[in-house]
Amino acid sequence: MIDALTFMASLRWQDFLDIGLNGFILFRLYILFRGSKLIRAMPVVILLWVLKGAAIFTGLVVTNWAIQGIIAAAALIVIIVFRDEIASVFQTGNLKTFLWGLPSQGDITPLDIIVESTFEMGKSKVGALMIFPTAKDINDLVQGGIDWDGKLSMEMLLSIFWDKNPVHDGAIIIKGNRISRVGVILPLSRRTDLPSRYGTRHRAGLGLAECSDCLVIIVSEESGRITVVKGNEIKNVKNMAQLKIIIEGHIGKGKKRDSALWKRLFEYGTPALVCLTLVTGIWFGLSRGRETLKSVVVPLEYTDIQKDFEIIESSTNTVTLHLGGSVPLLKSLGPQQIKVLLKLNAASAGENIYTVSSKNIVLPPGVHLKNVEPSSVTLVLDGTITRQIPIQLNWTGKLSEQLILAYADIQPQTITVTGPQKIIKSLTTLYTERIFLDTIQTSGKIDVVVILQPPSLKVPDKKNIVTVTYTVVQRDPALH
Amino acid sequence: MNTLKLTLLIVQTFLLVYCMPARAGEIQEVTPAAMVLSHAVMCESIDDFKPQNPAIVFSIDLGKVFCFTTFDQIKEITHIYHKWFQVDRLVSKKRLTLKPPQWSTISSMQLRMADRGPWYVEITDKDDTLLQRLRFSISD
Repeated sequence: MIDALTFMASLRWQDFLDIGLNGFILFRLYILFRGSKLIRAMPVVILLWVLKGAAIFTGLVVTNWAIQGIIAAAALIVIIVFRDEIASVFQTGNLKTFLWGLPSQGDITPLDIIVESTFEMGKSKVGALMIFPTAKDINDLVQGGIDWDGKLSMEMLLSIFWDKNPVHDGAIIIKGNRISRVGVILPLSRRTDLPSRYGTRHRAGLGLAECSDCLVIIVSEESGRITVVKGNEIKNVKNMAQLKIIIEGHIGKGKKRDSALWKRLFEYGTPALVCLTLVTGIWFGLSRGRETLKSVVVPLEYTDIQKDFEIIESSTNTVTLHLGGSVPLLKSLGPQQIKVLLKLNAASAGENIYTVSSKNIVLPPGVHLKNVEPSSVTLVLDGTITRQIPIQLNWTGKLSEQLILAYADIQPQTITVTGPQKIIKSLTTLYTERIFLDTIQTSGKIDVVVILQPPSLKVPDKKNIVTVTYTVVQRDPALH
Repeated sequence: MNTLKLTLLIVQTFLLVYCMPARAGEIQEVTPAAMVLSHAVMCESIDDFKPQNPAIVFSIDLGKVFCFTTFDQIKEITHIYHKWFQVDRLVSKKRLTLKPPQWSTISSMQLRMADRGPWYVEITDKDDTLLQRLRFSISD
């Protein structure tokens, strides 16, 4: 108990936010892709992931390698195959719908549309047969028909039962706000006490009502009369209000509002809870899993260095960090995630000693510092100055024995160099790159690069190229 | 005889200084008020008090390289230095005496295989004031 409390106390508010935010993202992804084929493909991807873990655990090298390849390919295939579904998710609705919205209450039967359509058909003497099943399956009782799954609307109902429509003679099945099936053939009633005006449509409606708990609405083609059948009870409907009450009574509209709320709460609450649990599990697995240690060599980064100051000497350029954290976190630790920053804003010319501690080190969340080696860094800083430095040509190779390189003019004769004060002050000459003598036969002109040594020297606009005009004379053989 | 030779040398030097263009690396960095460095050159040899084959590149095969300097307007006996640098390392510092009114001085460097590369000779007065820097290279 105390351990649990200690553990809870160690959690930061950022941890709760982390879990909550990622749980919400996962839940939103589920909501956005719910019902799509993409979600149906997800278990396969998860299965592959689990198999990969199992392969690693059992040391199946080739299997692991193969599954890794399959997962990489699967990710690409999923994007290509389900590109339309992914695009539709990102294209539909506004930002609020995308971030917050829930799908509309699709299961609430639009009573007004049904009632108005029924009476419209009755007025126009359009025959109709509509079935309102309950939770019980009626597939064994009906035959034929075409899967429709269309949203219920007056236009839809009128067009289905229009006498030129090939499916107008059959029944339709209404589930929630959708017409799930059309042109359905129903079993005929064998009752003998039915009025003679009842035709096949009435008998079919009665036939299904007798053997199920469905509500059936029949509109007579001859008289336009509306009849509602449930069980063995036959009721002629006179007005819209009566029909609405009957349908409400069948689908339990009054209770339905409360139950729908509970149903929605269950429908979205369960995945929300699953998402939160899943993210919590992953979070604890990543950040509070088995503790391990890792040593990382990190280069030092210097910030806020004063203008005209340069580092001319450093006791080290890297430090070794001994880090602690969970195995997955340390395993996934990349060099770009760790920084050792030394602020040089208070540095002065000469030797400066900086202590490397957690204050100077940037680590990803969940990873903590155990030790630093070396714990201090000595930097020698110097101010920068600019000076004109003369250039000397660095001739190399062998000049023909008959020739004398008598004279060379360098333009410019000096170059402006900026660098640490100490170095610049002691600098007397800058040397060019090697100029080869072997190919020289006559006087000429060449462009050569001046070597900036030590590398801390800088030339404004990188103008470290000079033009050399040299004069070659023939050796007088009489002098030797 | 030696006096005649020296006089001729001085005349020749005078003509050389005023008729020849300034050579690479022969920038007059400091002009002393009293004594004037009228001629300074690197050469392959000295013959009859004259620099032979003045150049800026010398083959290691020569075995020796010379620094020749001539001073005018010398008021009293004094001395100068020829400081030989290989890259920026002082290899040799030679103290040379000057006598009024004109005097030419010579210093030389025995070359070894490791001496290839850029060199310069700093000519300074007795107070170590830089009078001129002669730049040259030792090649194969």
